[in-house]
Order: sequence, then C-alpha cells, then structure tokens
Amino acid sequence: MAYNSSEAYDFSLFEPQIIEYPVKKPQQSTKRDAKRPQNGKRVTSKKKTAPRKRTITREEAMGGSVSSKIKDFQTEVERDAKTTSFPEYGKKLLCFIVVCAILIVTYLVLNTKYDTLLNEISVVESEIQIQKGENVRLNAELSSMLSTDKVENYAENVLGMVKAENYQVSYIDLSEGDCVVVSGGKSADGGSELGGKIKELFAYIF
Amino acid sequence: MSKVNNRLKKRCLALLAVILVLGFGADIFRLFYFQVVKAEDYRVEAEAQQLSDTVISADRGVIYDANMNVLAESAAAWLVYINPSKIKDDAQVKMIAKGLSEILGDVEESTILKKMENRQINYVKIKDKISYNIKTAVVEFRSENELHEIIGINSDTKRYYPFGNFASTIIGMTNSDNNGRAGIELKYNDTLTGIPGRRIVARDANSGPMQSNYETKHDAEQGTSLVLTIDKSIQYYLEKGLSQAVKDNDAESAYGIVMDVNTGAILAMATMPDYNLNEPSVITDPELLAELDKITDEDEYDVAYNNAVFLSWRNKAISDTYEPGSVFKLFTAAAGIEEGVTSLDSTYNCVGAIQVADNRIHCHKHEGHGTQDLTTGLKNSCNPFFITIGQQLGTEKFYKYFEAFGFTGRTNIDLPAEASPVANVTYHSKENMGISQLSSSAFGQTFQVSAIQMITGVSAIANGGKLMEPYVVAKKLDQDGNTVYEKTPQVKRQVISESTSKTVLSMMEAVVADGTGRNAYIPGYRVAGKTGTSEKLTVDGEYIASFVGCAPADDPQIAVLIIIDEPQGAVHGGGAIAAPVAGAIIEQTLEYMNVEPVYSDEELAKLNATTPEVINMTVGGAKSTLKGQGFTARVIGNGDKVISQYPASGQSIPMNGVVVLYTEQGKTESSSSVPDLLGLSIGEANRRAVDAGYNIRISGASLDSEVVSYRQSIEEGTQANLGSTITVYFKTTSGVQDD
Repeated sequence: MAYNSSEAYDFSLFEPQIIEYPVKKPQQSTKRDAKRPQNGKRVTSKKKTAPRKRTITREEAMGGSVSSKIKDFQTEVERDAKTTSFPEYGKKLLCFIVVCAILIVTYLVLNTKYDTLLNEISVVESEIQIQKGENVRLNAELSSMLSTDKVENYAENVLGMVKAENYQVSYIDLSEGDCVVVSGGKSADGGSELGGKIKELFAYIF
Repeated sequence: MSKVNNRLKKRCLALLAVILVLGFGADIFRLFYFQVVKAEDYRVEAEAQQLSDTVISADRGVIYDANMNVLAESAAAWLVYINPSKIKDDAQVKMIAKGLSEILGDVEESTILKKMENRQINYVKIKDKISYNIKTAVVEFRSENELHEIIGINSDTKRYYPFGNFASTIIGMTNSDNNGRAGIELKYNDTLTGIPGRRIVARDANSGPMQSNYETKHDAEQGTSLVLTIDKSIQYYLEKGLSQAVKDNDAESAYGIVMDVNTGAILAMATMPDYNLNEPSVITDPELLAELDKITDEDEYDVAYNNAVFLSWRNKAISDTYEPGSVFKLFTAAAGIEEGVTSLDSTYNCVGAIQVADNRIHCHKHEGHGTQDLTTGLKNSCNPFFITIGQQLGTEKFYKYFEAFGFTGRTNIDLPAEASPVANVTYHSKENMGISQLSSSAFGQTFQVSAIQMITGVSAIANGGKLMEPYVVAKKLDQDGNTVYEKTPQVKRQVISESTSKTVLSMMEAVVADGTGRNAYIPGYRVAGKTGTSEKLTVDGEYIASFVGCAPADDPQIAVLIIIDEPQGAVHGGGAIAAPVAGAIIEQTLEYMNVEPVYSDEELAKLNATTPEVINMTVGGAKSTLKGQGFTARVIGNGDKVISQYPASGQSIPMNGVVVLYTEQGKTESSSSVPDLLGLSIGEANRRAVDAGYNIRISGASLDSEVVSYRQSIEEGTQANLGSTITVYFKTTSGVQDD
C-alpha cells in the first residue's frame, strides 16, 4: 500500500513488503527427487508432509539464510547433473543418432533395391507382352497353315486321299453304356470272381 | 496544433487503411481468381507440367467360333515413324529411305523419300502394325547408323485374323484406331474394346521421370471375348460351295446361310466373293482387277477401286434384298393350310396361265401342268395354283401371314447393316395390296426379302411353327475365360401349328425326292426343300437362283439357303444351279453332325464298293477275285505275282471300277493323262475313267437316271497316277426349271 505517491515516483516501492512464498525444505525431497540419483546414492523419501507455508519478508526471501541454502542446494544439484549424467545422455544420443543413420541408410538401400526390382518387373512385363504378341502371331500363322481348305487340298491333290463315303461309316449305339468283355469267354464281372477265389483260398487255409 | 496533428494523423491512418485495403483486396481478388475461377485450368496446366501420363492400350477381346477356334485376336505390334526435322543432309535421307524400305518390305523407297520431303515437321508415320522381328531389325538399323533422334518406334496393337478370308463378312475388321469397322467387330465394338490402362509418373525439373514412388499404374483391361454360333467346319462347307457356284456359273455373287432351325443360331453365313480380313483394302480377285485395270484415268480408277473394296465388305446375306420367287410358295401353302383354304387333297387344273384383273399370268410350263394336288403343285412349282391359293386367302389373311413370318420387319440379328423392309417399296402394304399385288406376291414376285428373313421364315416352317430370332453371338467371356453372358434362344411368335409345319415339310421332301429340287437329293438322308428362280427387278435379263432346304426332314436340325446372283448361261434355275450346292452342304453338314444315314435298298444297290486285298496273289487269282466282286483289273508289268495294288485294299471305288495291279519292282507307279469326264451320265463317265485307268467317285444326284456330270475334281489333261479316284459331280437339268 502506498503512503505517498506522485506521477514520477512510486514511494510504495521503498516500503517494506510482505510477500508470501511457499518454501520447500531441502531435506523434504519429493517422490521424484527421491528417484533421482544424487552423488551416486539413492535418496530415500521420508515421511510425506504437506509443504508448510511460512510468511517471510522480502529481505528474508532475498538474502536470508534459507534462501542462501536453497541456492547452494540448487547449485550443487546442477553441478552434480553436469558432472554425472552427461556421458550417459551422450551415449544414448549417440546410439539414437547411429540407429537413425542405420535406418536412413537401410531405407535408402531398400528403396533403391525396390526401384531396381520394379524396373526389372517392368522390363519382364514388357518382355512378356512382346512374347505374348509373338505367340499370337505365330499361332495365327500356324492356324492359317492348317486351315481346312489347305489340309483338304493337300490330302486330295498331293497325298491322293479320298474322303470316306457315308456308308463306310459304322454307327455304334452307346445309349446303353459301355461294357468290358474279358477275353476267353470269361465273365466281365472279374471283381466278384476274384472275390470268390479269395474266399475259396481262405476256406482252404482255415 | 494538437488538433492539426490529430487530423493529419487520422488522414494518414485513413490513407494507410485505404492502401492496405486496396493492396490486400487486389491480392485476395487475384487469389480468388486463381484458386476458384481459373482453378481447373491451372490444375490441368500444373499436372501437365509435373506429370507424365501414358495410356496403356487395351487388347480387344478375342472372337472364337462355336468350338473355341480363334477367329480374331489382338497382339502387341509396333509403329515406325521418322522425325524429318532432325535430318542432317540428303545423303542421310537416301540412306534412311533405302534401309527402311528393305526392312519393312512393302513400303517403297520413293514413298519414304516423299514422306521426308517436309523437313519442318517432326513426325511422319512410315508403317504401323509391324511385327517384333521387323521392329528388332529397325532398332538394329537405327543403332548401327546412330539415327536415334530420327527414327522412332511406338507401341501399337494388331488384330490377327488367322484364317484370312474365312467368315470375313461376319467377323468384319477394325480400322487403324482399333475400332470395329464391319461385321461383329463393329456391332460388338463396345464389348470387344477393353478399358485402356494409364501410367502416371511425376516428372523432375528436367522433365525426366522421378523414382517409381511417384508412379501410379492402372493396368489395361482386355475387352470381353465373344463366342460365335458359327461352326468352322460348316462355314468351310458353305464357303467352298458358294465359291464353286460363282465359278461354275460365272455369277456376280453367291451368298448363303446355314441356320439351326430350333434355336435360330447361325451356323454359317457367307458371301462370295469375299475379302481378306488381314488386308481388307486389297482386291485379290484377278477378274475384278483386270476390269479395274481397263480404267486409264487415275482418279476414276481410285474411285472404282474403293467402290469395289466397299462392295467386297458387304454382307449380302443380311444387307441385300432379292426377289424370292417360287421359294415363297412355301409360305402361301403354309398360310392356306393353316387357314383351311387348301389341303393336301386340294386339286387344281393348270392350263398354263391364269387371268388376274387385266393381266394374264403364265405358268413357267406354258402348256400347263394339268390337274394336280397340292404336293404335286409344289413339286411342279405351278404358279397359277399358288395364285389361286393366295386369292382364296384374301389380302387380310395373306398379309397376316406375310407379317407373321417376319417379312415386314427386321429379324434383329446381331449384325450391322441389316436391310430394313419398307412398305410399298420392298413389299406391298396391306392397304395397297390389290388383286394383282396379292396374286404376284402369292408366288414370290414383285416384292423383295433379305436372305436372313427368308431362312428365319423357313426355319419356322421346319421347327413346328415358331419364328426364332436369329443370332451369331452365343456367349461373352471375360478376360479369365468366365462366361458373363449366354444367349437364350428367343421365340418371337408361333406362326403356324405343328401339324401345318409337318404337312408343308412333307411337301418339301417330295420336291427334293421327285420335283424341282432333285439336285439336292442325298442318298441316306431325308432332305426337304424348295427351289426358286426370279427375274431381277433392277437389272434386265438377269436372274436370281435360289434353293432353301432343311434336313433331316423327319426331325429338322438345319436349314440351308443358297442364293446365286446373276448366273450366266442358259441354265439359271434354282433347281439346276443352287440345289446341287445346297445338297452338298447339307450332306457334309449332316455327316459332320454325326447324323446317321439310312439307305434304302435302291440306294444301297447304287453305292460304291470296297476294293479287296490281292497283293501276293497270282495275277490270274487276283483278276478272278476282282472280277468276282465287280471290279476291272489293269495289270502293269510282266510278273506272275501281284506286288502292289492301286487303290489299296479297303478303298471305296464305284461298282465296276478299276484296280491297277503292279507285278514288277520299279514299276510301282505309272501315270497317265486324266480324261474329260464332263457332260456324261454316271455309266459313261465310269466307263471312260476305267478305260483310262482311273476310278470315279460319284457326287450329287446319283439316283436320278437323267443326271449329267458337270465337274471333275482332277481336270482333264492332268497327269495322275493310274488307279487314282476322280470325284465327278452329277446333276440333272430336266424337270428342275421352276420360274
């Protein structure tokens, strides 16, 4: 609250102020702090207590004994972090960079190979198309050489063949199905005969 | 002071605001213009700059016959072009022209030189649809002479027709753009055309293709394939018969159809002369070429040549109409029987002419046929009899059947350019059908029908009265060969009853057995048919001879229609010149379809005999064996034993045929000159052939006593082995005239 003021000066700035700061006791570390390594030793957490609020003056906050302790503590933690965690983080970073580099190189190699294979497929596909075309052309040539009129002309005029007359063709009625006749006048039902013989054989043995 | 400053300040601010609004406004406006108004244009432009889009052409579908023989198929081919703007000097021009002409074969050097005259252009096509071998040769030539910038090769497709002229008027062909131009290729162009593929590649700063990650490819899809109802073997029989008919009769053309009467499927359809599907613009007919060569004026020659080419593409079986003549009497008879105005017992006394209104219409037999029943009337093809039936039917009923048999509309066959009947132009409308028109129409004169209409109508008579819709495409197949469509035969309507159908068929059978259709008689098969001869309405003194038949008469499977246009010579009747052709086609087709022949005793007595085995017999023993079986022996050499015989045992030769016996080594073959066997009866031809040491095979109307030979398979004067069989074709010319 200002006792006196003008446009140029704010005298309230020169008055003692009471500011409320939540103060953390350095001894009472949080759970996270407990997990953090300190000088190679694991700090175990003590009984959890709610941070107690204390009213301190500005002077205390700026230059009091508590603040100097906090400062010392923070400096110490930073120094420890610099001296102890850098090599580990560096290794991890290096590992990460190496893995990334490997992945990138692998990707590039695979991509190149993929492109090469695609090109090869494309070449083979076009070759297949060409060969298919050739196949069609050659088949067409073959068919034209084996057309009915050419075959008939060759057979009649070069080979002297004569077409069979209608009456020379015998028509067989297959409407009742095919049947097999075993030579020697035996029955066509060979299976049952064989079965009978086997039965006879078993009867003889036993 | 402060007021002035404030005002200035406000003005500055206002000015600044205006500048800002105008500036940003213009930008926003331009942005709107580019992004919204001209968005599509710039998008296209950007794509064109950044993307390379190549069309992958799709193959057309394959065309198969009914037995899956390939009739048309597409394959990759190439196109050669030249970039004249890159040519350095005249020496290079000559070198390119000479080299390409030698490789391409049918492209003249002068033609290539002419194409390269204009050096300003950068693309001149030299030849398209070249094969792989030729393309490889061009590539080698280009590499050897470092002509990469001048000679270019593009991909192309070529349609192959393996059998050249075969079924050309049905299949049709494609143009240079791979689109159908005639026939099935035109009618089913959309079906056969595949879906083109695309290959889109992103281009780099140098307009080169970027890596494949930036590539999108859509494969081309082959067009749908078609399976036709056309049977390669039956089509061959038809084409062979028609081709011979044109040659024998020096006719303008001949065309015909073979149809499955029960389904309407077209088994064969041809027009002669035809053309080569692989070279559709080339005329190969020497007579036609000789006629064209008479034209001296170059322009006139070009026009005549092109007209001749277009004419050769015409499928006359569906595009042309003709006067049916006496064949139409079948429909008058069917209508009369169905309506009860006539029957098999009806009689008519033909006195040689009949008075119709003010005209006296004569029968082709001027002295008259006398009293005859309906079957005899059809056998004699008596005009007055059928005029009378037509008059008894009356206009109303006659027109009803004329329409019902499908003569007033298209058949809707799935082929392009079907002739469309026009009332009072191609036929008489009901309103304009007076007694004269009715009378002339009743015996098939003064109107026109197409061949496809005629055979569809005759099939209705043969199949029990059902008018079928004719078709040539039986199935459609996708690119994996799966059936995606199958044609179901369509019955348009029932025209006549089954009993009428059977009655008319029996009358038709009598026509072939003992009437004007005797030349279509086939031993062992029951053939029904009707002959027709008519004078052309459009050309004076020219005729159209036709024959329509179906077989077997007791259970019809096929119908055959043969039309010979403008036959030359004294004999021009359908019974004399068209019936033998139809008979031969029916015989071969029924054999091919495994229809078993059943011979009568009379037929068996006239059939050929099979030669016995006489090798290793003594000459005397062989002679007596042959004589005992009715053969004549002819001995070559002075040996005692027969060492070989010709024809060999089991061969078919006519009764009283000759068997040549060879008795000495080294004299196993002996040839002689084939005698003239034309214009003879069967007995005379056989005797003359045997005397000369040859055998004959009889073809044609062999049961008729009045037959005369009109063709022999080995021409007179040809050197042939003794004992060879010469096929001799017989026909009768008496009692078959029907006009």
